[in-house]
Amino acid sequence: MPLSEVVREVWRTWSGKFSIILLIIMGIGAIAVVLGTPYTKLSREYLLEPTAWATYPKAVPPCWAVSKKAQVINIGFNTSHLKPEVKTKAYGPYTMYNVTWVYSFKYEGQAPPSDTLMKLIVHKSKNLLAYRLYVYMVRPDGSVIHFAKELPVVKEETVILGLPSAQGVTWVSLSNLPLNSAVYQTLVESLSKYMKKDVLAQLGLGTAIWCGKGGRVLRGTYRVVVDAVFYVQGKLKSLSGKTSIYFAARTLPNCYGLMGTDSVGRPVELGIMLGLPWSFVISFYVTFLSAIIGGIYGVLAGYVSGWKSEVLMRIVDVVNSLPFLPILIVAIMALKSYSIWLIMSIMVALLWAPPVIVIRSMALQIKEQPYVEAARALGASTPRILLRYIMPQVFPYLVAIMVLSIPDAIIAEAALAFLGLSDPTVPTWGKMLEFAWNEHAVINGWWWSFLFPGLALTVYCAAFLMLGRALEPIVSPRIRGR
Amino acid sequence: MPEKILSVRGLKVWFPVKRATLSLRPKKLFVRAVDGVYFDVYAGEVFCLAGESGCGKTTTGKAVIRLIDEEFVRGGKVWFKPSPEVYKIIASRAPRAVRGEEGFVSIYDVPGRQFKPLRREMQIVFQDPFSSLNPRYRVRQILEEPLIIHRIGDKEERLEKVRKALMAVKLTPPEEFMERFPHQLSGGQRQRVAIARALILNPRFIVADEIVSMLDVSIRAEILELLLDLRDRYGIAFIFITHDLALAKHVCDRIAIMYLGKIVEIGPADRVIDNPLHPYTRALVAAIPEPDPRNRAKIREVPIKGEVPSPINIPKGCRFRPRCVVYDSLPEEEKSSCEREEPQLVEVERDHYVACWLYGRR
Amino acid sequence: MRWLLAKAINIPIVLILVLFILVSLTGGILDQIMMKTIQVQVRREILANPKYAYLPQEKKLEIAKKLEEELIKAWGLDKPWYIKAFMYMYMLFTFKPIYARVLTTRIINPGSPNAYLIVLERIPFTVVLFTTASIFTLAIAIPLALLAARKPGGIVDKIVSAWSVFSVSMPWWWFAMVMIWLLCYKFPIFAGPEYQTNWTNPLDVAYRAALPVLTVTILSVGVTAYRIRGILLDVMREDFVTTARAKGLPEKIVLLRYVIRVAAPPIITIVLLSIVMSVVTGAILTEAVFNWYGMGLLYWEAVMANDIPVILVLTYISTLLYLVTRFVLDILYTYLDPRIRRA
Ligand SMILES: Nc1ncnc2c1ncn2[C@@H]1O[C@H](COP(=O)(O)OP(=O)(O)OP(=O)(O)O)[C@@H](O)[C@H]1O
Ligand SMILES: [Mg+2]
Repeated sequence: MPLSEVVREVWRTWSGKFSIILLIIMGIGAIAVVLGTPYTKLSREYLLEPTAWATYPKAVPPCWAVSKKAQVINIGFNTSHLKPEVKTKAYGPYTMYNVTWVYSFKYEGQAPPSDTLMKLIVHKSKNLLAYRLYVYMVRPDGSVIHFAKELPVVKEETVILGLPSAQGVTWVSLSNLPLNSAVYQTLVESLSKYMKKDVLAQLGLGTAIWCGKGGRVLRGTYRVVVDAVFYVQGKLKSLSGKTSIYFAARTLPNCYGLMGTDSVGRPVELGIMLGLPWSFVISFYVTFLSAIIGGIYGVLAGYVSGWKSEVLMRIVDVVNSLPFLPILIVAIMALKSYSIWLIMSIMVALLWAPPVIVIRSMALQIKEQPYVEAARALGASTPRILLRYIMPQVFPYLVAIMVLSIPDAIIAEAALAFLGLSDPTVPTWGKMLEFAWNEHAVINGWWWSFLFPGLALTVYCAAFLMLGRALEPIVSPRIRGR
Repeated sequence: MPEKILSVRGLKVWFPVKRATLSLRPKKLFVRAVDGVYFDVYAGEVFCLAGESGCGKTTTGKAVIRLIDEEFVRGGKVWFKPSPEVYKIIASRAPRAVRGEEGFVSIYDVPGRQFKPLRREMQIVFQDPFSSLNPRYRVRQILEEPLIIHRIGDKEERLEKVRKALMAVKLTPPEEFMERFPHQLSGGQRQRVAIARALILNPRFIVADEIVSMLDVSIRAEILELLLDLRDRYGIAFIFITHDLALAKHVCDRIAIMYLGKIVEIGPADRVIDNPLHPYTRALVAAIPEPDPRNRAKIREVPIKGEVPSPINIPKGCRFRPRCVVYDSLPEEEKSSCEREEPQLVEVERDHYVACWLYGRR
Repeated sequence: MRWLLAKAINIPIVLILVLFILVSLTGGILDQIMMKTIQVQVRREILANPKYAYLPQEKKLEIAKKLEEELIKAWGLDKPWYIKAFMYMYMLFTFKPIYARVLTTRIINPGSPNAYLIVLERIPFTVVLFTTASIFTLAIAIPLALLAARKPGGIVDKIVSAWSVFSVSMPWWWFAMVMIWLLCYKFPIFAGPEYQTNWTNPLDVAYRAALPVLTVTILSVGVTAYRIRGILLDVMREDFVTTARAKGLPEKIVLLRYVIRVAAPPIITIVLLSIVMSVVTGAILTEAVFNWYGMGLLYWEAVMANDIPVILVLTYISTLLYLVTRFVLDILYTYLDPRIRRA
């Protein structure tokens, strides 16, 4: 049957229609992802560079699932541009300075942000002595949250919040402050006046600073107050150039995109997108090779007779008796290599056998057909008969088998990934599930981080399965034309 | 006397009975489909093989053109006289196969790899026109296939040959049929294509295995006409396999009656059918439906009893004995030879041989 | 009887070949396992024997070393690999104890590192879980399949077909995750994987088993019903069914009396085989996700702990189980299906 006719027949059933449309969409999607994005760079970042996701909200749900949204604010100021309020007091030869800067902004979000990123850097010249820093935030309800309280600044440049790196100082997430840092302790101390410890732990510091009692968001005007106290010998002519404090804060949204983010901030939709091309590669590589090997093997086993056929079928028997997933696990663990190509090849080594039995019986049937005998009578060689008479008959069925076994291949890969036996350089949906499970997404209720990868797998497999089921009756092994 | 082209001597084809892989009793059983067959075929004649279903006609037909695996051929020889060119090729490549009568090749002694040139000289047409053509090939491809296999001519020449072959089987104009698939043809047309495929290599003889039995009665006559016409025009010999004796009388020059893998009677068709000598032939002839409708009502006595025994357990002595009504009426002392020994073919009349103890006491 | 024997002979042949594959895959690791086993034995010997109790430490070490070397010789670990391969096969074939690297037993003889015991104590849990689920599955799937087969293309048929597509396309452990999230955390109805189960108390185990059984049942009903429907439809195409219909028997009677009787053997085979398959492989991750104390969880634990001896023994035992079941099913099938018995 010509291909166009097959497609038309498949199109006639509703599931066939559905699967063809889905496959076209996914196929175009996969091509678009590979050609339209810096795919290798994105995959590398996604899998191996957690720093790339520092400015993404962690473990937030998709935006359509969130009714009250947080406001994303991005503030930053350098005290040299603000007008200070200076108080002085003389102590013998020394003068004590108390300099205060105030910066105010508004937070209007309906929900607190998922986290707050901050930077706080202090510069001072050498002759400012016993420099102490106070940084606090006065919230709309008048409560005060301290970031720094009597914090001594010794060096000329001190990074109080922020991670020095090659690109300058990067953000620090308040929710992930080291427990022994001064800022963490100060923050916890001042916050625990307003909320219970367990609420605080649940919200995280980056969220809690925007919340009042009971974890409700506080909306309105916030004032950041920076206060420096130091001594100088004699008096300063002017403050300019002597000290500057850089403060920046950035709130992270409480939702992200269509599918949310996982616990390190990677967008789930990015993972789904990056996994799509690999799903095609894995399933096609495995099923195509095993169908071809199984097909050729089955046709050969059908064509030869006597003990040769017996031996060939006994080998198939053995391979079919191997439990698929356990052997896969043993093989990968024993070979100590997680290369995706190796994993796929082992799958091929196990999956070529199941179709052999059907293909062989088909070949046996076709071999007895008078037109094959006629070809032998004409002097056609065995390879010619196999290639031109038996193979073309078997081929459509082989395609159906291949399509039907795509779920096996891709789910097996996902299962291996779930056991941690997957190529670290290949982004797959199975790996996303593994990550979600290991980060306790189920217990934490981060449903988006496991729901979508699983759905992607299901939809992908279902499309092929439905296509295969629509194909099967059309190309079934009954010899057509009778 | 025309030239002899095929000589079958004691051919035996036994199929092992399929049993469990690891059977405990190693004794092998066989379906003795063909069990010691002798006959000759002459150039340009229509030679009939007739007999009940399952008596081994098809197996014989296939065996004489080596469509049966060597492993099943348990004895005997098939001598074939190819054209001088092919003979030369075979003689040089497989000298072991030409140690018989001058010009003859023992086809099962030619190594498989050297056999291809002989395929051009012997062809077969099958019973079922629906399954004997590759459903995926167009008529042109089906007819080109033998030419490609034997590397005959270039594209142009091949097309020309295909056209000629189609015309020879009266599928005209050829252009109209060349691009069709088998399923776009009627049964009769398909059978013509199958004949054309057999013809296209100019064989010396063609095995025609019940080629009309699956066709409508109206088409049968045309196909048979075509066959006789081809025989007259190209001098091709036919081994015409049938179980229809009336038909056989109409088309055949000589006829061989088979029973349970053996030929029991052989001779000129009209003489065998008008004057059957073997009890089995008599039964077959008596069973021919009466063409005259007025006589049909009369129920005729068919002189045979029982069922065909299985070809696995062939009776000792004369294999027809258990069904033979003549045997039953024989006096006890004459029965013994029927029970003890297989009768051989003996010439009862000129060119008319019978294998029955009634005729041959030797 | 002869074919039975032929099939029975088939098992060890296949098993030997499977063993060969296993051993050749894990050859190097097996050497390490054996060394480890020897060390364990030597340590035991020295600890247990009062003769050595008062010897100084160096002396003990020396004796240990000598014992170790003797054992290596005695076990043939100094032989070339091809001899060792057969040795290992023999070892597995005769169930010689193999010691786990990390895992230990918890119920039978708690604390024992014998890999066979570790596997053995898990088997009942897996079997119980999947057998219960299969009983529920059958109870739902058979009526569903009958309804679907009665009207191919009807609404029930469509539901069965869609259900089976989704249960085959889904990673089962993922569905289990969703179920846990929904029914243990979002709406806390069932015991979650965290639940501290007393594995020796049947009631506690039953409470714990409810969600896994529910999940596995939901998933397998689709596939099972679809397959049964396929078998039923195949049987319904046969001549005797047409004859029965031609006799004017109502469709219901035809289905229940004629079709079911012929379709029963393949249905039973398929169902039993699929139970065994899930016991042997399909359930690895589902059990792991439910933290259900069966073979699947053991696979997970062994992979996480990189405990290859346990994985090896697990795979070996599963293959054995699978082969034996297939053999038993073959016999059962022949016994049930008169058409085959005659042939
Ligand atoms: N490949 C085979 N393997 C086993 N037995 C065979 C094989 N081919 C034929 N036979 C057996 O050999 C016997 C003769 O078969 P054959 O086809 O030659 O009969 P026939 O005379 O052509 O019958 P019909 O008139 O029905 O075509 C039959 O009993 C058949 O079952
Ligand atoms: Mg025949």
